[in-house]
Amino acid sequence: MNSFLAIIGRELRIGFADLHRVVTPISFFAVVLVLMPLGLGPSPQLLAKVAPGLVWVVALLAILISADRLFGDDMKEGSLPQLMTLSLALPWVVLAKMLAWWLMAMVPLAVIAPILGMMLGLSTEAAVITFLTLLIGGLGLCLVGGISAALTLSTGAGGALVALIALPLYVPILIFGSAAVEAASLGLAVKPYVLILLAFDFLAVPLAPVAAAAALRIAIDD
Amino acid sequence: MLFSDLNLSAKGGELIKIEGPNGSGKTTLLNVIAGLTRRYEGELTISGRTAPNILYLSHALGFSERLNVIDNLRFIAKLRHIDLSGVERAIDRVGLTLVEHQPLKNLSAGQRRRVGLALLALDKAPVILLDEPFTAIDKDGVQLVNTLISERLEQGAMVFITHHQDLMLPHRVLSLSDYQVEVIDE
Amino acid sequence: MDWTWFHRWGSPPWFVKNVTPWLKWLLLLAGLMLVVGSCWGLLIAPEEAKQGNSARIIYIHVPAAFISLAGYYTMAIAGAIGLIWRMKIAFWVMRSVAPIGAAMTAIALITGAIWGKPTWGTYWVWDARITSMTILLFLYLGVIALINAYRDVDNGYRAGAILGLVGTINIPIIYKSVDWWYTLHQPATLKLTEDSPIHPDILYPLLWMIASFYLLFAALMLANTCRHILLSESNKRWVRQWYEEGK
Repeated sequence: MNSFLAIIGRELRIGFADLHRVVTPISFFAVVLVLMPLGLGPSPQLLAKVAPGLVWVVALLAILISADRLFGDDMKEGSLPQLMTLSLALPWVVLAKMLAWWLMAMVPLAVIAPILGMMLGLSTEAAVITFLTLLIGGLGLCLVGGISAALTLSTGAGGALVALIALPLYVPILIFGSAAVEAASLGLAVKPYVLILLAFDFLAVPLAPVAAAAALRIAIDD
Repeated sequence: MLFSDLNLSAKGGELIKIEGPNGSGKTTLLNVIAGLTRRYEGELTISGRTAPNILYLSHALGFSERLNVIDNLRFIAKLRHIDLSGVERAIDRVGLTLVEHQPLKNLSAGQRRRVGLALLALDKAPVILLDEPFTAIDKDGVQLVNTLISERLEQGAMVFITHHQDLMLPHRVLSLSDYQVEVIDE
Repeated sequence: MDWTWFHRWGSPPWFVKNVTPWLKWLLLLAGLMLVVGSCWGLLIAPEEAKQGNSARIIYIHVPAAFISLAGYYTMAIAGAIGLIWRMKIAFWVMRSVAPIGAAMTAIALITGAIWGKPTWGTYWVWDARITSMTILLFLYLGVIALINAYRDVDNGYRAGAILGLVGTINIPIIYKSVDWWYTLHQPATLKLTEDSPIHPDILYPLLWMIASFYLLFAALMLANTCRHILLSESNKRWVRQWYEEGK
């Protein structure tokens, strides 16, 4: 448990030492959402109608932008051999890194998403649900995105391949996340969607680190 | 499959130098010993242990460029269950006290190598793998590496080191050519 | 350090030598069944009451859709066998199935679009089944792209197998969520499925075609597996011997 927390602490320290990498995905998220009215027109009715889907789709893309640094630096700096010769099993190491990624990328994004959502015409309730579902669903995004990042780590193929692998797997999170926001803006019950997103997390927390760890062992051997 | 018919045995207190031309598989052999690659055929036993505690200082040392010397060492010490109180002394031994709060990206190549040496001074693993530890190291550093290795050997660790002429300690030679291993005693 | 033995399970020479002799007969049989089934479906089977002749595309569309999902599971199971038992043949099977499955998915999508124009008045609608099928196509493309992205072929296979397994766990979730998404957003205008069961005159040729597609799939899979084995073992002596014997 100590080692587990130490890894999260280290990731956060590196994140703070290199703040622009934390800020970039969030800036990307904001700028794309700001461009949307320019492409779709400023009609408040239209924007309010598409806002739940837009916020969620752009959040998926923003999180993928930061995916390659999850293991990229470790590969470059040679930390992977260090992390693989520990008494702590590799899936735990991977889970710690995924959680740190969630804390640094997803939590700030969930914090600014309601503001941008309201600029697009979301109601206050819907904005609160945007925050909540991005937090919960975002964990799933980081876990599944971590598998893709690990699988593509040694290929040098970069972001496009990560996206091709991760985005189809993101479909359930996208559907229930945006449906929750939409339900909230229509004044309907949100709880079932939130529970489904939680269920996805519960499935992904034990499975995703194992898959990503197996992928890392391939990457280090490639 | 890289190595075929690989048979290797070593004891505590032994220093084994792996030598061979570039591309002969020196680093890959260290990876095999560290359990990082499965691309070999044969048996590998280290004192009959099944899962030894290994310290692997790979060519890219595995420290974060963004973190300073102390944080990097503390992190790894924590993960490897080493007493944190030794960190400062280890930094002092390798002569990095003045730069201990600098992130590694501000350090020279030789100083970074010395961060790895601090870990070597700190760690108590019974199996140590050193990939080209003399790279970018000055004369004093060469002496230091030799001292640190001999200390660890006295403590009963077995040390594998890839080829370098600056090694001044008695050792066995494991010579590689084209992923073929022949053990020669010296 | 642990003792590690690397067994080679599944012998490529054995596979190629035993499969190739009857491979062409299998392909021939599959082709023959397809011709018979097509004639049955296109010429003999009665015209569909509401959609007329355009509904005859069902004899291609439905079998291809069957294979597309079965192909993914075949790929994933082969990959799992390769990972767990380190059986090289299983990886070659996985590699061989991927493009076939992707092609079948594409065929199902394209025939569906062609069928959609006269039936729904549009080539494309965001219906649950179409959407799931499209995502399935991307899952295939992801596996193929990942395998090809690796420098080391074996590592590519192992990575592809992991992705296949992750996809396998995810596919039921994706299908269920897309179904649910569709019922939430369902537009009222489209209704394809009738309540009445399919008439036997249409059902029998359809079943025949499904069986032929499965056979075709199996034959193509075995042929492609042999191709991949021969490509990657082309330096080995047994390949030369086998080739000499064949002449």
